[in-house]
Amino acid sequence: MNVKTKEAYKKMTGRKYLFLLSISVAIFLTFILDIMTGPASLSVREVISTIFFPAYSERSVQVIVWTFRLPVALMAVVTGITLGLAGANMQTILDNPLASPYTLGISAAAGFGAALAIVFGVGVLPFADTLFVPINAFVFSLISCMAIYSIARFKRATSETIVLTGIAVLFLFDSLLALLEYTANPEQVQAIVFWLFGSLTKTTWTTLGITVGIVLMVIPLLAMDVWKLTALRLGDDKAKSLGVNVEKMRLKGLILVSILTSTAVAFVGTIGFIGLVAPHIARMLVGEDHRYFLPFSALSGAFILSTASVLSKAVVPGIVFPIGILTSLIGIPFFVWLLLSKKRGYW
Amino acid sequence: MRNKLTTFSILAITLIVFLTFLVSGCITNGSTDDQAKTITVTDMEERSVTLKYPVERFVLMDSTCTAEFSSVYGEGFDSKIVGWDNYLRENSGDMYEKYVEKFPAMAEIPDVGSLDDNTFNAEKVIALNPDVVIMPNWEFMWNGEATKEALARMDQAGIPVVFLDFYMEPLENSTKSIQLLGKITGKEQRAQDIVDYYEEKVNSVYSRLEKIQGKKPTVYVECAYNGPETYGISYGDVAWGDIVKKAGGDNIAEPVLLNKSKALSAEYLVNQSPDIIILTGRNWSTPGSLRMGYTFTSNVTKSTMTPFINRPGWDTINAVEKRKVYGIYHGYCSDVFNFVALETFAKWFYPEEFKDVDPVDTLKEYHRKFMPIDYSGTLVYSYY
Repeated sequence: MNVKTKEAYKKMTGRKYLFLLSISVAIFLTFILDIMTGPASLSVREVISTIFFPAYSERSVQVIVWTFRLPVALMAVVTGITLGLAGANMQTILDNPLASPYTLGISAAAGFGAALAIVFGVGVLPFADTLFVPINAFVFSLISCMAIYSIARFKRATSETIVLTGIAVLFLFDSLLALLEYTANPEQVQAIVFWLFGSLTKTTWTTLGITVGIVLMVIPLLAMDVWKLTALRLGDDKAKSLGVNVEKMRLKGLILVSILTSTAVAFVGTIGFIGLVAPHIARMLVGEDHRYFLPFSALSGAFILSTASVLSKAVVPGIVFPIGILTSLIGIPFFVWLLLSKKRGYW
Repeated sequence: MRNKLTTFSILAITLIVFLTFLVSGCITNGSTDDQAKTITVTDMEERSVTLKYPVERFVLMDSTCTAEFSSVYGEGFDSKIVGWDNYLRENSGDMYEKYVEKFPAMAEIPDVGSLDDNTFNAEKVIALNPDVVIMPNWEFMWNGEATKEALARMDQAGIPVVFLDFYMEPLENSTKSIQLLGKITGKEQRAQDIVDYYEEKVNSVYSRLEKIQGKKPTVYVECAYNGPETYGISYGDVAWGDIVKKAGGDNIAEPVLLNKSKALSAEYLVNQSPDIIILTGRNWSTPGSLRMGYTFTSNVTKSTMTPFINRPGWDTINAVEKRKVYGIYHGYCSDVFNFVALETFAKWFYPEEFKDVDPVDTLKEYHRKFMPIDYSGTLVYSYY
């Protein structure tokens, strides 16, 4: 009997590893496709030789591969990971299938911060012009998270308090944003709208580096808690009886999610949908065990965004097509298919 | 019984008062029609409009047409504007400053709201008792519903609306719009002088271009209202794109944008490596945007343009290597100054053939001849 259980467990785990392996391969393929495609129609050989021996290529080809394509393709993967992780963590700590990294009004706050910089040229920190917009977005999203955090702390961190405070913050910043758009002139409104759509094309090696650094910092912190997070999914009471400090877990999770999301939002704008759907895809395929659930959610996010990045270049070659529009368009059919093919409820 | 009677008499009195107002309203309406001289014109939307002649009280919607209005009207134009929207103040603050500096009373012109944010206040317009409301016809493209509604309200109030066009088909309709303004203000001679000047300049450019053989230079135009990190919109075969084409340039945005205006991707631009780059500037508040206009020195324009030139990959573009990066005042796309834009572009595209042409001189001359404000600041700019 014992042997049988062990074998069943082994088989189950093997299946999960297989899923993880296949999605990693899929991401690798979309990533390669991402750096191979673009309006410049470079040959595969040209791209590869430029990646490995940049010195032998023409200057403009170097720029196209190293300055435009590589950072964007990598940023798609990293941002996908960021949003997937943030979303998975958020759904767990809030015990709510509708939660996403943007549930707590982070995107609205970031959007307001960015719009403030665009309309008034006001920066929270006295930096160079070029960093106004991302820094404003980052600072405002952190402010909104901290506000929610302090209210949650004060009122014992139940998921209802956090969600409701988040909704209040969301509406507050949404109306402030509307107010700003109202006072802005048409060119500024266009700039704000474009920012809100989300775009990877602004990526530089610096912004990529910062994002990677933050993700690498957060992953071990999350990895430490995988068992506790799994316990949290059994409900607050059961988790408590298993010795998990639920409130502490929730507040810690809140901080990690805000850091991840604020970083992503500041550099690429609000790319919606991924943070909501990647965790669901993960849950349907590998279940609730956070040892697999968290990485798979991160990888699904990366896969969706990387695919969207490839497609965004194909819509109208030569034009910057906002990627935020595509993520949901390509993700939804897949998501609905998964939803329909599941026989039982899985939440 | 008593109560019923009172109610009845109140009703009766109300009715009588109401009827009196109605009748007197009809009478006053009828009498003004008889007194005034009228004129019927066809506006740029092919609408036939009958106006009091000459028109004395103007409401300028899209107040940026103050430039055209004041050049056609000449002396005394400032007292004829009884209301306007905030476009001039918001979008061409530098030009607004110049006007207000010279005609301080213009600061007091009532703001009637604008169509683009649905703040147009029909009641306020009616209260100002204008003879005409002037509107640009691009409002139909950008704010269609609001424009139709405003038009209906003005119709109900019996206030005629005249549409002008300096944007949709800039080089065809600018002169017609100027002539139309001349007709309704009774300043037809001034309008004709402007049109003659405009046509002389435009035709001189066209006749020189006709003689030029060989490959057209490839051109990239960007509205530099975002900072350098985000590419601003470029133009297909509309607005600036139209002027590039007419000035003998090969617009790299046209094949992908057709007749739309959208941002091109950096990779496309670097790959196309155009011969000439033109950035359009204004006094936008967006951090990092290109600053140009009546109140900006060329140093400001230069320092705000440098980060654009330092964009990744731009050092490989022909235009940067051959030092052909330029700036032009964004407002010139949508007003009578588009003839200067045409002349400037032609000179930038074919410097040899247009060696003797100086757009800044043209601008100065036009301001001296027709504009109430003086030329100043940086309106066309060559980075190198």
